[in-house]
Amino acid sequence: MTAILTLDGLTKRYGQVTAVDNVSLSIDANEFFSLIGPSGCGKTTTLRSVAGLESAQQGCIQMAGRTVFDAATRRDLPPNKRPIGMVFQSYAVWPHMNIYENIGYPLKVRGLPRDAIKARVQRVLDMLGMGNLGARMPSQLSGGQQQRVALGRALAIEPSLLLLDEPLSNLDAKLRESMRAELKQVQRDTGLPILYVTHDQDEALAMSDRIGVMSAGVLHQIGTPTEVYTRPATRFVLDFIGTVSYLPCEVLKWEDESVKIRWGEAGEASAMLGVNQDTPKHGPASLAVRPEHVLLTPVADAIQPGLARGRVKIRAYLGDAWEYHVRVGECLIRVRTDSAQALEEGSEVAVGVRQGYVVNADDAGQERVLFS
Amino acid sequence: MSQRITPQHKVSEPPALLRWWLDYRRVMLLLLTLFIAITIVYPLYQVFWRSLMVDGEWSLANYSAVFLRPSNYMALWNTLWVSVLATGLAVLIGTLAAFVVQRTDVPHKALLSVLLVLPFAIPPLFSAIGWVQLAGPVGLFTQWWRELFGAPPPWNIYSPGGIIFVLAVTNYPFVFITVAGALARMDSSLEEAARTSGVGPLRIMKDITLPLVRPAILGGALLAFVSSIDNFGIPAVLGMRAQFYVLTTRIYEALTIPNMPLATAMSVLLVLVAIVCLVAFRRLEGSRGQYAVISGKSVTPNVIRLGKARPWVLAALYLTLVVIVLMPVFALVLTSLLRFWGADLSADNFTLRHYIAVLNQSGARRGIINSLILAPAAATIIVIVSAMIAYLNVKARQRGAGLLDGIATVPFALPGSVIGVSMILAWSNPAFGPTLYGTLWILLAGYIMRYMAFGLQSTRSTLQQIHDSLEEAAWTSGASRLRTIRDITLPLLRPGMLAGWVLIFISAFNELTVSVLIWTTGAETIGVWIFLMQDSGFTGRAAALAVLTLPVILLLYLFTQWLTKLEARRRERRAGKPDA
Ligand SMILES: Nc1ncnc2c1ncn2[C@@H]1O[C@H](COP(=O)(O)OP(=O)(O)OP(=O)(O)O)[C@@H](O)[C@H]1O
Ligand SMILES: [Mg+2]
Repeated sequence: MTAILTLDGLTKRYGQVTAVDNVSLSIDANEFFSLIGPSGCGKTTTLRSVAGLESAQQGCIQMAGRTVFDAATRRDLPPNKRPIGMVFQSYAVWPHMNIYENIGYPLKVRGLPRDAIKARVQRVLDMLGMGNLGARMPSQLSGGQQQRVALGRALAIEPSLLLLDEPLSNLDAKLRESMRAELKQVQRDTGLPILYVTHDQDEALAMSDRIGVMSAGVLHQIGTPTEVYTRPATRFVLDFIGTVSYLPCEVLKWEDESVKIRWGEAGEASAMLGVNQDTPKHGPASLAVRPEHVLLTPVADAIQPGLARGRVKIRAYLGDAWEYHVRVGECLIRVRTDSAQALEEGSEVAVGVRQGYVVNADDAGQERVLFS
Repeated sequence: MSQRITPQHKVSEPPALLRWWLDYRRVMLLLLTLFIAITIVYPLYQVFWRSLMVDGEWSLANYSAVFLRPSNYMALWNTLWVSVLATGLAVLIGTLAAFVVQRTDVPHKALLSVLLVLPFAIPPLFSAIGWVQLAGPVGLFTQWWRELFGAPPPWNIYSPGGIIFVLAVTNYPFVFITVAGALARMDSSLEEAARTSGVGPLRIMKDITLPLVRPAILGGALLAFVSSIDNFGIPAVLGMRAQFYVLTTRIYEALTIPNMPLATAMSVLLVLVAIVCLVAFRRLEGSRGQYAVISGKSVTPNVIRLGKARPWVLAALYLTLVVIVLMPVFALVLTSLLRFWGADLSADNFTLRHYIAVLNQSGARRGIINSLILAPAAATIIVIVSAMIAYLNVKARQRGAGLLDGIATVPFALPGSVIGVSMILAWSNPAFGPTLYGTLWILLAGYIMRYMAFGLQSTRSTLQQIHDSLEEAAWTSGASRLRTIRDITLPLLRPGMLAGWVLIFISAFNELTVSVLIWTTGAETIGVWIFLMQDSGFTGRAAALAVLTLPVILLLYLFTQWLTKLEARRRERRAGKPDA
């Protein structure tokens, strides 16, 4: 597949702050790509650099086979010369134009004849299910409808690339869900590549073909939702995507392809998955576990190897599942079990781990460990 | 993941330095800086520099001249105590009225709020003339008093007391508006907390509400004070006849002699008075810290039930309004229609001859035409220039534009007399360019300097409310920067520009303080003619000319009120929805 968008070594500084730090990525045709990370990590700045609203200090940006930005040659196409459509977090629907004029504006600016504009706008309105709202003013629309207008305006010119900056964050939870599906549908229908910025991981995991995880301007990992969730490349990604709790453990043996650790009361477990650590570490480390990978059993008389003794501190009923906070030694870990298994608060349990990640004490890296 | 990309095609572009200079923002900033430098910085520089010069040498002689003659330093002292007392009285009236309207169950609140700010629409010179006709030696009130008590009244309008009173009834709306606004926005849970702990409503007023609106009272007082020391019309009509001078009238006198260095030195003193007072007010405000309790919402405020007193309070309010707002205007209209003031109100004493006389006087006609040219010209120029400065500052975030905005706002704090003097110094024998003195241009320059801040204020605040993403959305939609400005920014900015334009038009249309210092034959304005006719005893004609201009001012004033209402309603409507 050919790349529609390629960023190479993009770096943007605001005074002392490096908002985007040497970011490289590429987006293929048809791809839904999400940038995700905590607030202030540089997602918006990256997106705005792609749009041409910010000029980076280093790196270059290629779009649909053209170089639109290159710090080295000082080439910097303004936003109006880039083949993009953009949707802003604040909708940015122009209050002095009606819906029809809002969506038709990008076409009008490009000098399309009136008839063509009319036909195209009507098609976009129909696609968004707002066929009869063209004459309304933005102040007469709900938030969700305004966001749809913003989307329609970005789609009107059939751009090479669609840029979206947290387009759903101003909507309430219900509406957000339905807009999520709608957006995905629009993307399937149009086959438009999308660069999507969000700090909501559910949104990113549900919609994206690939995800880029950012922190403090640095792009930590790029991968499919499954890859990012199950094989986090860095400690940050592990912490940020999904939930993890930490248990102390000790690395006994770390060889090319496997790692052997000890954790819990008397347990010893070995891992089989690929170890790509350069310098294997021995000694104390942490075992990171996700809530759904912990097994709880009402305490047996004897704790088996590889299990630990714990006590249920808090439990919460979530409908489809139970969530427990279980104290194990000094640590509190979060556990999710299916709703059939109800354990009383305060009861003693045996804690087992199906799957986890070994994190070195110095935080330098981590590796996934599967227990048999 | 990423492959290295080398740019395939190089585009020839102008060299960096040339591009830097061709950037429209820099070009605009340069031109605007030039404009502000010529219209504002250069005249100001002239005032301060010339006040320190005697025969081409550095000297403080001009200042010592001020303090050598009692008539000069007395003017400084008079300005201070008259303005302080007038401000005190204005605070009393304004705060009382605001509390009655906002915090009692008095009826007709909407109408009262409109009537109470009406003095804003009446030029101070007009009220001064109106009050002479009411409370002067042959005034209506004076006559009534004589008939009732058979003795001369215990007041004299041609006195410091008269000046203080008229200044106060002209300026109290500043206090009323700020205090009523603060009361309306105050978080009433603070008052409720006191009420639920069993404190009586009057006690709550005194212990909770009043301290909370203190910053608002001080803010309003500052505006009233600055307006008092700036005023020329009132002390000129009421004080000069009694040989009672304040700085503004003294400067006027000094210029008729003419004693330019003295006028200049006194101007600088007037600036110092203004600055000292600004600082003093800031201190007063700051010493108690800022209260962050004035929030957006209002539930049920602590309202005092007037009970039996309700009709009486209402009657007293209306009576006060009639006396201080309507009577002066009524007296003005009557004066313009009576053969002579003091004549019986019988049919054959009514005449249009003052109007005919005014309209037959070529000078007065010229004044009307001049004002009709100057006010819209000044308003248009200011609004365009300030829209550009505000755009560079708020939207393009051009470095230096903020400073330019700040410099252009400085004259707002300067008394009008200072601006008048600076105009003469800068443009009667300028170091470069043509002599503007003796033409309409000097008046235009003076108005631009005086009202620049109005235009900046309204365009700046409107632009700040336009979210950046609205422009960026147009830009990413394919519109160039210029096209974005045309299609998005300008239409959204238009209401702010219009409001600023009307405000400047009204102010410039009846401007007096600056005009009276820099007018020349052929370049008079309405305000100047009204003052001159009043000053030379043709009160009937002065009143006739004033009555001719009042409808214009009142209509435009009502138009601005309507505009702000419209804007507020629009904002309310949008409030439920994020941003759009
Ligand atoms: N115009 C600016 N001037 C100075 N610093 C800026 C500017 N814009 C962004 N920054 C800084 O750059 C960093 C990245 O900001 P950015 O807006 O890209 O974050 P973000 O990931 O989009 O965050 P959020 O999720 O809160 O929108 C932040 O530290 C921010 O403070
Ligand atoms: Mg952001």
